[in-house]
Amino acid sequence: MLRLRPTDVAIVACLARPESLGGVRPGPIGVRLAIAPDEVWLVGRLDQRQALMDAARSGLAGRGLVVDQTDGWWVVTASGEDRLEVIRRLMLAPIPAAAPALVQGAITGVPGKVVYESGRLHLFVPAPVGHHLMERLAAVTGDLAVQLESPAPLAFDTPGASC
Amino acid sequence: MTSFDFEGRAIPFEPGDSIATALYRARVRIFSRSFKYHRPRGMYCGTGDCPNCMMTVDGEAATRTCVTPAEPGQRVRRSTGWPSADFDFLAGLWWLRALLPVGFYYKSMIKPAGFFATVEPSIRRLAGLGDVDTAAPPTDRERRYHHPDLCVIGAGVAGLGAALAAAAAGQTVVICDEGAIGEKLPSGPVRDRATSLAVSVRSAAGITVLERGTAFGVYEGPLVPVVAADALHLVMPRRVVVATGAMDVHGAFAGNDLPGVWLGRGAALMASRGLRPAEVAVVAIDREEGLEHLAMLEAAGVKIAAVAAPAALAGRIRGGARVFAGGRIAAVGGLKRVRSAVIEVGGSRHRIACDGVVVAVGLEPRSNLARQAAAASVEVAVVGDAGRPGLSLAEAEADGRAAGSGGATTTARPDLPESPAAGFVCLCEDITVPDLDLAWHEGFQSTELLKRYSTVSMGPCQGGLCHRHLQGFVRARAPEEISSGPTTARPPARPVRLEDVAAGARYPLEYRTALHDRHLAIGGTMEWAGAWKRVERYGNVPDEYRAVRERVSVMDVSTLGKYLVAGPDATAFLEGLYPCRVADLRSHRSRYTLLLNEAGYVFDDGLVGSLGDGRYYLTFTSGGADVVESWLRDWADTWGHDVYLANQTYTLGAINLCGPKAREVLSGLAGGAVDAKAIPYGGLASVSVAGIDCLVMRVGFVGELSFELHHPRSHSVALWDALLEAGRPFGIAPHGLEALRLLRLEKAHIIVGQDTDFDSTPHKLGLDWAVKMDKPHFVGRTALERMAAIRPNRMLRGLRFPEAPADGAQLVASGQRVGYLTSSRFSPSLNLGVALGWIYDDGAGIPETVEAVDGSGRVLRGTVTHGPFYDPQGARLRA
Amino acid sequence: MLKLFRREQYLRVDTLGDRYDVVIIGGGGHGLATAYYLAAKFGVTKVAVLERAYIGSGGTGRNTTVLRANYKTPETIAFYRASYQLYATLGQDLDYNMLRSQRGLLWLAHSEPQLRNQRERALQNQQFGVNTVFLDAAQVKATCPELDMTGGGKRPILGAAYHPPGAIIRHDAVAWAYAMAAQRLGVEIHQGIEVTGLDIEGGRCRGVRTNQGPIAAGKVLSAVGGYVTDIANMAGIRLPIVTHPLQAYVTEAYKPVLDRIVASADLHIYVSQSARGEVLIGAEIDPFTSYSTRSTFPFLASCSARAIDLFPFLAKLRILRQWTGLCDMTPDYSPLMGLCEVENFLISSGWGTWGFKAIPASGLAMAELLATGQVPSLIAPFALDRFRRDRAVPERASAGTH
Repeated sequence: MLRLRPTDVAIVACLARPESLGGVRPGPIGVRLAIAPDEVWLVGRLDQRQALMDAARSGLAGRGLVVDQTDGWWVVTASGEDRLEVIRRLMLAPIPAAAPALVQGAITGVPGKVVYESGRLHLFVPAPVGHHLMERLAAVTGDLAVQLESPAPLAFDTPGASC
Repeated sequence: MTSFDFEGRAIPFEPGDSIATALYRARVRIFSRSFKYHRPRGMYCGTGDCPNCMMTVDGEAATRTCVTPAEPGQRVRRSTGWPSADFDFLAGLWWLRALLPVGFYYKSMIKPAGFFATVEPSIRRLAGLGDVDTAAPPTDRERRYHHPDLCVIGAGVAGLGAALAAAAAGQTVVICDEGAIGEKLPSGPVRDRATSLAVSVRSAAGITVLERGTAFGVYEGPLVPVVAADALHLVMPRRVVVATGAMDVHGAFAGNDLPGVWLGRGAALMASRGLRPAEVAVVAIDREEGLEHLAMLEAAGVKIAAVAAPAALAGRIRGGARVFAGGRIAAVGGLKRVRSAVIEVGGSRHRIACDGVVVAVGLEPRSNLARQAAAASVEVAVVGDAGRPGLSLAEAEADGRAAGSGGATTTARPDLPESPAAGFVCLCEDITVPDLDLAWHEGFQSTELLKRYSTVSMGPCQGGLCHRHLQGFVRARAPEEISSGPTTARPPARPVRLEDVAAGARYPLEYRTALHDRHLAIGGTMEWAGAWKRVERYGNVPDEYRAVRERVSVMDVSTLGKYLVAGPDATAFLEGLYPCRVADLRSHRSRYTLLLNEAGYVFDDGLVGSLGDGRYYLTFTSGGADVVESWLRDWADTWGHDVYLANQTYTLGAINLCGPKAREVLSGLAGGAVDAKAIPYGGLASVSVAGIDCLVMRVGFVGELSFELHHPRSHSVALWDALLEAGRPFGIAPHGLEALRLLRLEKAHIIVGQDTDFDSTPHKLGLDWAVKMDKPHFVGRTALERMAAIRPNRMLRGLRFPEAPADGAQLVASGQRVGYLTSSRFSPSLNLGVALGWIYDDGAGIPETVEAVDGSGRVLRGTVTHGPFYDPQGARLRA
Repeated sequence: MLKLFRREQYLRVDTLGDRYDVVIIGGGGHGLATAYYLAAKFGVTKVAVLERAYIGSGGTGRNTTVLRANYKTPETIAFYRASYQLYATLGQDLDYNMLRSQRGLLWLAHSEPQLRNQRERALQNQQFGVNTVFLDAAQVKATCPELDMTGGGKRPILGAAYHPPGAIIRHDAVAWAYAMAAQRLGVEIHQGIEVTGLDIEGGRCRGVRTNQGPIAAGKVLSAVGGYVTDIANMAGIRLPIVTHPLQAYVTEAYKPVLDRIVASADLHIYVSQSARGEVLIGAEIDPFTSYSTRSTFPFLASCSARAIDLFPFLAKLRILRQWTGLCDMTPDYSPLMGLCEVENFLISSGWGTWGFKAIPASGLAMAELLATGQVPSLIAPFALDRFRRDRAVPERASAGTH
């Protein structure tokens, strides 16, 4: 069984020198993703967008740039016992041993990111190829019992976590 | 009783039959005709290693029938031989072989000129393993990625042992075999053990079994791709164990290619299925296993006429066969099949009548994958027969288990093969020992040259049967040559179909703006622009053009590259990056700028705008967006600048609202002032439009009053709809790329990559004004300074014509070709053809008039101009 | 015909001397052709070709065998047209059948920019006497009926530049034919000789040092590809090249199914079928620089996917062998030929993906330069110092992948 659901996510990108990023924390309203040595994302519910921007700004204390990148990504959440099949069929990078975890790499030919939680995973692809991800998900899961759910806001198992 | 169709006959088959065994049972003996001499070929190896049994199955040529399971309804036919494989007129070529020595085609058909061209079509029709079914549609398959601790290639006893040992140590394993487990083993203790191990393997957690999965390569990584019926499995293990087994050494004696000659294990396999490889056989063996072969043959009812065996084994051969201790097979006689064999022992030769010869005189590891791994610097453990051919059952399993648990294994030193005595060295390409002799004599005296000249080992088996003999041949003549080693093993180890390797890679991939569906809904025709789909037109390009020039229009320009730059060094960074001035950019002003590489050549263009708080907003062409990101980061790193770069290309959409009425439309939707004072030409402002926060930039590309509205992508549709609605009373109509090309051309605005070339400096483009040479430093400055002293040999100029010449038209002046057009369109506003083009100047200066030659038969006389054709003062876009 | 019955040694093993008028480093097509023309056209026979491995082991033996002259600038068009014409009679000139087969070359356009590019190319070629015509989609289909005009349903073919002279040839045979003909005229060819240094004194080259001792030379030519940077370093010269791998593969041999040579400017692949029946498929250079000739899986997968988009029948064909060669890419995608700062040391390099079809013209021109000291006008535009003089010869759009 595989459940797929487009997810509304707020993405706040913080760009700064590595030493300045340590203070950037989402608090209970989101999750912190280490995208690159000089880039951290605070990710949470869409309706918490402004709060995440505020948390980012206060964490950076003026020593970086905070940018709302929410609209740049299309996010799908996969859950159910077959969720890892999606990765095994679309992504070359290995599945991490423990959750929460962030893996970045190509997903069906486009730059992607996967946030793993213990019961589900969230796939991020650039917004201009969101339609492509949906088509590919349909194409590779024909042999599984798939439930396509309507868009819903993001929820994290472990808010405040970092990966 | 199930059956398949073979050349019009219904062939019954039993469970477990391959197509080949079913055909053999139905008394088919000639399985194919050889490539060059059309010699009859019969089953030989039984394990998919030789070319003899290849037929066309269900329209697919070159299918190895001995490893393809028989299935009901298959259509099988032999596609070599004319008129048929059984009666092939071209078999007469063997008698003409004196005229067809190795490389004969290089040495003949040279004169008269054109002779080869006349003959080539016939040669092409003679060549080839079979026809291609051009109507068969590709099958789409997908991929699976695997990341086990261990990948085991080959599920024989050694491979299965390796998998079990690794799993017992808690490791994850993927094990594959190109066939069903055990199907290449004759019945007996080895097969029983394999079957028993297979049960444990299938039930072990942590072991994935890919049966009928062909691992065709060991690539850097390591990456082992496995082709299976359900998908292409890409296995990326930490370790690899190669357990691909060994095959009998291909015999080297005259007549070694006749139907009826069998490799030992192939014959044993047949016998264990109750099929007799011969009625009366001569057998040559060199090891214990050979005794088992003899027993199996006899149990199947084959009469053993003679056996050549080493002295140590000779004494253990029972039955009525003549035993030749220390003997070897020297030759096999027969025309279309085996009729006799000659055994040589102690200098004397004995001819024995028979209808089959079984050869088990040496084992050759299937080393292709191991050699690929070596070439890719991937360390693999090679176990079982593949590492040390001839191991006992227990030794092979122990070998596998040792490797599986991570212990070291020993690989045999490869034995040094002898030079082949006689016969066909290469069955695939019909290369005999005399052919190699001749090639060597002609001067092709290394393994590689010999291979390329004679084509030995370049056929379907890719050296599986013959590379050993090739090695032996070269070693005997040039032992010190480095190139007497085995030739490089290249993927694939087994021939795989294009659709197999393309599995999971054939999807269409287009980048779309948020307005994609809107464009389709209103009749937009989409075209490719790099990786994006953009609107080419909505129906009538002249209408779209007029909307822009006379009223108001919108265009989706969301594909533009967009970057936010901030940080303590942002200004210094941009000053260094761009040839224009940045430091003096007032808040909320922008500038058109070029992007130069270190050679001073233009590779992109765009806008740099100041947001006033130390942040800058940069735009680039749609095509350049990806390249630009690394460009920005590389220079920031190089200069050690403290800057923050945010790529907003996908995050923001952009719509260009343009035309004489653009301001009216905008002010109706805007939550703030949008007059010329609030947003002057070259200005940018944050304005709410239809309730959507936009960065509004005054731009000039199309030559009319234009407002580029940069906004969050999620609001593109709402903004577009609002603009169209508000613009309705003004006659708004959207425009696409085709209209854009004309609009910008009337302004003589360049498109980088179309009007520019590799070495276009700003000066050659007439864009000196965009470069501030008095800046102490910017990328490309040194080169431009040096080139200021060099006269350019061509310049980009505007041209006017009475009609528009075709794109790419050549320009001629005074009888000389002096250039060509890069862009050309008819301008409705000016009633002229307008164009941009490169005009060469070899010192005499740029001509004032030229003629355009565009293949239409028209000769169009044009004048060379400077600056925009339409609204040269730029009054309209500065409104 | 009589050749078929004679048992002759065509490639001799020569004994290495210690002094020659011309030493050529690199036994590929360019070096061997230069050696041949030195002897055949200019009477210079005291020539030695030094090859590190076996003749033709580099690019000459790895390319995709296409001969064409449909370039973009007047300079390269003239050069490749000359080379094409030499290739047309090469079999008779060298008395060796290189299996040249004229098939016609289609260069497909799937987008507006490429449509424009191909139209321009056709007009440019015609202007300079090269036979290339622009075809619309219907004409393309008529010229090559096997094509899927929808581009696999993804990138429809909109038109093409069609170059009827496009031909294929047996690449190894070109090296062998030049080698044999050169040896017949007295030129020496030495395989297994590695040049380890150049003997340069006072800015003048006097010879080479090898793994078998020093060799004095009046002039030295480097006709090396792939590792030419090593040689250039020996001379203290920096060459404006970067080296990229280029991969290709063949299928098994099938009955004739494709006559044309087909290249796609948007899909960046090309396909042709040899006389033996093997279908040869390749794509663009790998995006990274490397001296490795390893074959990769991503190339095989990506190239095959695109090939099937053009020719659906390719899906069922079986891949036999993939390989990789090295391409020395120049900034403007045109070659480097001629003199450099070191006297008596010449270079023929930067052959990128445009080297094989240039062999005869490059050999003849370099031979002329070596023999007479004058730079032939045909190759003057390809001088090494052209970048410094802002006289690049931009050919990126036409270099394609082959």
